[in-house]
Amino acid sequence: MNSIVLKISNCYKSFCKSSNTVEVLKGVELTIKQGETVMLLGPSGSGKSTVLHVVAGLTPIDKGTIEVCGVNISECTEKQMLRIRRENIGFIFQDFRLLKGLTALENVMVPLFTVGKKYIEAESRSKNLLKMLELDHRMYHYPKHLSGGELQRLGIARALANSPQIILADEPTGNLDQKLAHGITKMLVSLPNKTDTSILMVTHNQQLTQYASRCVELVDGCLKARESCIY
Amino acid sequence: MRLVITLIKSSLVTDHKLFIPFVIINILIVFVISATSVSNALFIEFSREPIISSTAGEILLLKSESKPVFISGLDGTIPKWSFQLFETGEVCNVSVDHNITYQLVLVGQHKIDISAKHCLVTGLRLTTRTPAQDIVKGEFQYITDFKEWDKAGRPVMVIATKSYLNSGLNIGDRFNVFIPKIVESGGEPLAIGLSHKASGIDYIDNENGEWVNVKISAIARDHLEKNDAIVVVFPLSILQDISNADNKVNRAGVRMRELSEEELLEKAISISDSYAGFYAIRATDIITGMSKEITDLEKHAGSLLLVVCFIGSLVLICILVLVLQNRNSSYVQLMSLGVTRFKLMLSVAIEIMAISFITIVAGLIFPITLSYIRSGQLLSTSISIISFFLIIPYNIVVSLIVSLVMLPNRKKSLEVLRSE
Repeated sequence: MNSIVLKISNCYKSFCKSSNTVEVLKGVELTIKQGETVMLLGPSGSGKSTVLHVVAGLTPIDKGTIEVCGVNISECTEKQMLRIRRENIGFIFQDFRLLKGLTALENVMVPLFTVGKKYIEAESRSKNLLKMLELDHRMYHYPKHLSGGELQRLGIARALANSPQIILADEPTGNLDQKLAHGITKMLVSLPNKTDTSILMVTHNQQLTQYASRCVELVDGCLKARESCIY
Repeated sequence: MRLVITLIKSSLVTDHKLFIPFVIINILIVFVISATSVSNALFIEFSREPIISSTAGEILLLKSESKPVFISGLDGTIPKWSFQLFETGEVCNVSVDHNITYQLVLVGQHKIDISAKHCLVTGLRLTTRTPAQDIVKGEFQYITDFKEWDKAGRPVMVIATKSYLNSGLNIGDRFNVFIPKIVESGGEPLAIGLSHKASGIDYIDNENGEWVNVKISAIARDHLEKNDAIVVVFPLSILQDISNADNKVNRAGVRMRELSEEELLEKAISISDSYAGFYAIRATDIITGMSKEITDLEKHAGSLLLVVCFIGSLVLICILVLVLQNRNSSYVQLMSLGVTRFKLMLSVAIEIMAISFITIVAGLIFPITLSYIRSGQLLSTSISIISFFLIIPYNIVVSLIVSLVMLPNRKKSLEVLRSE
């Protein structure tokens, strides 16, 4: 039986802007098992990205619990959170958010350095990842010289660097055309060792739901399961 | 460490243009301060120190109605008592064991027919202990007999500023100088040049006098460079003759080299207390007094440099804030990869340290080169070279404080990503 990688229970999050308080998450419940690919749908501004940020510990929650790999991150110190983020979480952004001053290879090596990997070890692991994602010919190129598809594959390679338990993907295909979006998503869900890694992916693209194990929709601050993921 | 190096590389590749103002300001601060400091050191080493050392160990005896003071006017700093003449014999009991250099200094409205703005006429009696002049051309022909002096072409020595010397004065050049007459007051109260009326003293009558054609036999340099004046030095007896001063002088320099400056001061005070109407002062004190404006200017320059540093530091802080603001999203992204705030702060601090070091060296190159070219050695400036490197820890502390405030925290991270 697959173990639980992520468990969100009764999670609340609101944002205060001047005198207005906007409640974004109102009792979110979500459980993701090892190897599952869960697609998170919802209208713009519904709080999909907020879910990812609270899971990554980038934003604190107001109420509830979030367990990542069995650890309640809402009770973690910043140091413990950093460790969880380094070792268990991979993050993919819609707009890639790669370091422009580093080559493709160096971008993938950064997360490996955060866990104390030596240069040679980090270089070897990064090269393998780039090869796996068919970016070996772009290894020493800077992000500005890469195409949209290549940038997102590089983002995926970076997210995979530390073999995370869960990948949080924030609309990773939002900036790509349909063909590329399908290619990237397919690549993401069919990665080697995929059975070990879970994915929580935010998307607007209904067509991509075909690649998910299951889909959930964020409506009025609460997550609801979608009966069918196939468009 | 590998992570920090990678972060620095990333930042420098991305933000090197943002650092250009930082680099320029750092270089300018170091350049302005070091150039000022080197200029000051050059002035001290090549102008003030030589003249102070040449007059060290000398006491000047002066006659005055009151304690000598310096006054500043259009003609620069002048001793107020200089026209109060006394007989050379009057000070003999003070100087039994010493050679005395008598001097007659005529401070008045002198005229000179070469393009001098100001002119001071002085008569000097040379002795073995007379402080050496910094003669750059020719030789001071010290002739005491008027007829012989006339026969030799009326040689005088000219002391001028460097700029004057470069303007074409040459040995053998002739010019006319107006020598005023010394007049006895005959007991009438006078207030010429004095703050109060005095009687029974000699004074300079600028209305009467004579034009004397003289020849330059020696050119010496005025190290003080205090104004664009020219000093015409006559043999004492010749000037006494022309100006009707007879045997009178207004200064007597007594060399006491065996005494320290402290002992010299005690001696000067003792002479001043012992002889009515006579005051003794260290020659070096006069030099200090004459360079008072320069000393004041130095103090103002110090304040100005502090203001430059302060403004520079504010600009540096602003640039750092802009740089870090610009990097905010990159930092959130790095934090999402598990990079700690400490590592980010460390990378910023190392970046600033490296840039500061390079810019300090760049800012110092010109003044140091100037110092070597002018003096052949690294001058011991009032602000030592090593002190410039204190900018590095200062910049590091500033960068750490700014980073601490500017780096995104958990509460801000989402806003930072959203605002992109």
